[in-house]
Amino acid sequence: MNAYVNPANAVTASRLLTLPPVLYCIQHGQYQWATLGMLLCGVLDLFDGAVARLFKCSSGFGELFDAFTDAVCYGFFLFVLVWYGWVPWPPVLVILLFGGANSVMRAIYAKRAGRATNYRSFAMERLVGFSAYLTGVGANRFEVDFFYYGCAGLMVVVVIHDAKRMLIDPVPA
Amino acid sequence: MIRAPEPLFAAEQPFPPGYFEWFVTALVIIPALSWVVVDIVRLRRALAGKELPAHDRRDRIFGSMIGLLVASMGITGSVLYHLR
Repeated sequence: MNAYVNPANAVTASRLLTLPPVLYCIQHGQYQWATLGMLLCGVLDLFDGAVARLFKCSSGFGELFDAFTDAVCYGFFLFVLVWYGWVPWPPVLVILLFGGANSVMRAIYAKRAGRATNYRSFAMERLVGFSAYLTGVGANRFEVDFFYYGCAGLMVVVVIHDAKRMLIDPVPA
Repeated sequence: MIRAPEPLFAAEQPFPPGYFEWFVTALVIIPALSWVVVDIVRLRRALAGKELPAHDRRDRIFGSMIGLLVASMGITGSVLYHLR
């Protein structure tokens, strides 16, 4: 099957369609609909891997596209929540900066590996899932300071740990 | 760049707020509990998995510990929210 146009990548790409409705809902104070839109985005994130295995269309590009879409979707939601003053900006700035640095390091890692491949970080997978939480807790004013400042601290630790693995350690075959 | 916040939740919401808060709590707690189980299992396997490459083993141990920390934050935050 085509490594670029396949059902799994279609599921991943469909997550980007949740961005405009969530923005609209936040603009109009519809926090419950915004939460459900973010939840839909997160659920689709769970399904794309399963679809890839079901249709046997897993690929290095698909993994990279999934990571890219994670960054775009959750980064957008966090930015909008800050823009409308629903969540504090310092931890979001830390999360977005270190998330961006993580994406750059992944690109460097793929270049070092000489192929379209995604560095598997179990810790970052948890944090990406946690950042989905951040969007939901932000939309619902659910212990915002606790979750946001806590996640920012964890993001710093994990990105520094992964930096050594992606930039310095040898690339496994 | 940062706009003055509009009155939060000024619009009428489709679901009763009390129910929706517990729905959000469940969305936080249930995955957190599942992560606790998954990460404890992964941590135990990584600690016992002498045949794994050293870097893979360290990554799994670190990832499991971060996962457990994240899960405990989710549970703690949910408890704090409902205690306030």
